[in-house]
Amino acid sequence: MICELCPRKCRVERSQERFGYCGVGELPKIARAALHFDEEPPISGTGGAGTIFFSGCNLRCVFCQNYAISAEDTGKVVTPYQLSEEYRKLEAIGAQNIEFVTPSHYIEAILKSLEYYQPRLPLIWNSSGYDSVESLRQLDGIIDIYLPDFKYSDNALAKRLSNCGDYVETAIAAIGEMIRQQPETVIENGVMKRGVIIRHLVLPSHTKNSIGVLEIIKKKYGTRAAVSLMAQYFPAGKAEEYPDINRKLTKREYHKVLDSFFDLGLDGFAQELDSSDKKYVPEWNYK
Amino acid sequence: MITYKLLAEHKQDPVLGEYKTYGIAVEQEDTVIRVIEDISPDREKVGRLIGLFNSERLSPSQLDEAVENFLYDFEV
Repeated sequence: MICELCPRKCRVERSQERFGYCGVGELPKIARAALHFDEEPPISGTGGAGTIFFSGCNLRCVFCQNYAISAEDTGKVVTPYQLSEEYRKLEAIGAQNIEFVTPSHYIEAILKSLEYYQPRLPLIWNSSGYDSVESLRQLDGIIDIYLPDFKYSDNALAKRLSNCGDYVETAIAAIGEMIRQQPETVIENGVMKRGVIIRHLVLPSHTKNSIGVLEIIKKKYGTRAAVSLMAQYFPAGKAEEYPDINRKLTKREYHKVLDSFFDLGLDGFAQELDSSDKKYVPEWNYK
Repeated sequence: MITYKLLAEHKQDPVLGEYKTYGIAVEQEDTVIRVIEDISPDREKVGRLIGLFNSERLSPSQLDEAVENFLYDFEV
């Protein structure tokens, strides 16, 4: 496969031995497949999200809290059939949904796995926001809930911290496509069935970036998507090499962004500021 | 006469341990009349901000707005 699945379009012929920009080959590599209770309330529900964390990533966020799997070698390679078996297992233990985390570089493998088994649960696409519209169109009618990040309103910051100088316009287009596919939010008995939630992680020293993201969301999408404002930043990955982000958020920084969230009239969720500790990093224990 | 001074505090964090953060104390005739805590852990920037407030003789009534502006892009 000459890979053009994501906007990087690295065109590497990904295989077992050759890896793309994402750092992984053609077959899916899983770091964890388990119930996850720390997502937004309508995603976790009471039964937990059936979360599959994929290894590799098409971004290079220096502050990545999942650095062990996004940039290092943690995880186990499986076939699309074995991936489909994980859906059955998660369904059997009461998962509210099947949530694909960092899936953008595995679109083809995921689509193949769904040919083997189609879960009777909502399917969630939890991505970095750096997705290509062409690839997302393959998911039309398949993915029920989109849960993209929208990390930056400033491409210079995106380039510096995620090696991604075209992040802003790419994410705007990708999220626009996601909302086109799922324009309505449907929640039944407190559990989300369809729709889009846009996540934004507030970075220390970068309130301007965060407020810019919220302003873009309001301008481009109105309230067609919910927004999940995240305060769980803590210095991870290579953050210690970047003085501006080598600390946690202050109360004032976060509240400044939160004030914008309310002033813009956005719908959604906001984490408590004391969310920023390592309990949000799962154990990478897939075997 | 109004003078702006640097306020240093120690905070305890379960992950990062003890760290310092800086705010602003407003003094009038040697009496602290207002405090804004925990503006930023960047001592140098908060120090420059205070220098600017003192040199421009910022009115305390404009302090909140000035701090909010700083918190937007962390530029002095």
